[in-house]
Amino acid sequence: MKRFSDQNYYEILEIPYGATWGEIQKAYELAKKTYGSDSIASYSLFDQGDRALIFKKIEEAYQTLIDQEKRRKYDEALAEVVEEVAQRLASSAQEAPAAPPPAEALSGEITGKTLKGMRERQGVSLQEIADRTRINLTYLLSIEEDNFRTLPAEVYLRSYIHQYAKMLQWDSNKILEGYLKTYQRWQKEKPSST
Amino acid sequence: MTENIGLFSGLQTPKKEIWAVGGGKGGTGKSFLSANLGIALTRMGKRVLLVDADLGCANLHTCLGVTPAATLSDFIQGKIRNIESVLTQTETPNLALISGAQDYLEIANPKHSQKMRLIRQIHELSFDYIILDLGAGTSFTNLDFFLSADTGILSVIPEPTSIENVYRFIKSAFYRRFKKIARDPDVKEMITLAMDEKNQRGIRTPHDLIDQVASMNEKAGQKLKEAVYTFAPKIVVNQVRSKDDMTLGFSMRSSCGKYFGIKVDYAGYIEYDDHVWQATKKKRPLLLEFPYSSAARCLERTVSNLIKNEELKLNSIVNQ
Repeated sequence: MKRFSDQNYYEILEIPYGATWGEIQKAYELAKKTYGSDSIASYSLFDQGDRALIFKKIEEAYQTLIDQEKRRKYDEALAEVVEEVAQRLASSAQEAPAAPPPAEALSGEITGKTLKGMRERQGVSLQEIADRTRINLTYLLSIEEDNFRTLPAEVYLRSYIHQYAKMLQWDSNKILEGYLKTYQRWQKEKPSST
Repeated sequence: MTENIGLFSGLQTPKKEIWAVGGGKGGTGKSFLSANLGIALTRMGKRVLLVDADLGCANLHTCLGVTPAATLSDFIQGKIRNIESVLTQTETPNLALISGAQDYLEIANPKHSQKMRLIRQIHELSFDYIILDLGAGTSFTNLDFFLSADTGILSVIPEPTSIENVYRFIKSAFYRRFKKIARDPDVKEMITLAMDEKNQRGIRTPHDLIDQVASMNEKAGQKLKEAVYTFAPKIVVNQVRSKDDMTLGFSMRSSCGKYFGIKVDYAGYIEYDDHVWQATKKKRPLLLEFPYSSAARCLERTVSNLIKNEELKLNSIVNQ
């Protein structure tokens, strides 16, 4: 089973892909009860931050899946993702040419959120990257969440970003340059921000 | 009334299943569940053995209203060589009991070799179902009995303390299993470290642990991942008084999935019912004393789910 941070909307709500409106509704009610602030079922496993994150994802999942149009789009994207991953895995075995990363993302500063968005569009889970690169998942999460405080020293960070980008077949130098700009700006602002 | 029986020996069973009933906290109905699940199974034509594996505070015999002639103390101390000689028949046909140790304090923590001999001999007995009623707490003895079973059943009541203890029990059992699988001493050490929630490595969840192990030793990480898939305990919620209590099992299943990454089945709930304490006071099992009570009906539903390896459906509760 995946971490909640890597679960798609169906997995988050624990419903089958073809779930009916009624099933979604019931699953949503149960999920709110399970991860709500006064739930006795989850407080001893998840801290408040985690519960808030799960709660947010549950809300996102519900709002998307309950809306016919949004759900159709999401399902399409999900199907594409499955397709892409299958293709990528098949082609990576034969060293396929690198897919060009979206051009607009490569100018100037690059944040973790941008990276996450790009990665998700390619349908690669963070777990997969962690599995292949052997980079600790919590570091990868910190990178994507721009959680600079919990990141390792810059020398390691550089190597992680490099591997992360390479794994996704992006231009790793440009990605690294852009991400470091964001990182260095944070370092400058750090003393005044707290 | 009580007699030692050789009735069950020599019979070959096609398929035997061992269930362990645990859950950490005392007073959550482990013995109650064990005794009544056993009786319910005999009504389905199964031959059942109950084992009081609560070595420190055995009282399953009281739940059944029998006085055992011999107990596990005699076996562990070596007074009785063959475990079959410790079997006690109960008033229910096809239901035998191995009573727990009562008199010797040191028996509560048997040596590893004694424990393994016990588990091995229990596994060799010829029954359709063998139910191990575990003691409270997360001692190695409890965890090892739990892990030795085909199906681990966790008894919980809708109270924060009980739920916390069930999670702690799952975590302890889970990590003990990990440790038994791991060969690499560095990996073993990391698992020990992960048990301490305030560890310095930032290992907060089993996911983190598996990641860290995999980064040290890929093969060991893979083995732990496989162990996750095969660890699938069942939850039974006791003393249910409201709809919220009924859905607690689903919430726990969800939390376990998202936190531990394991699949926990919600096998059933038992309604809070005054007949339970009335039966307990009389030292009689509920299913014999009040077979038509609401708790008895819940027990029958639960046992049916357990033998079919099925779960409660959310719909069956929400639509009530």
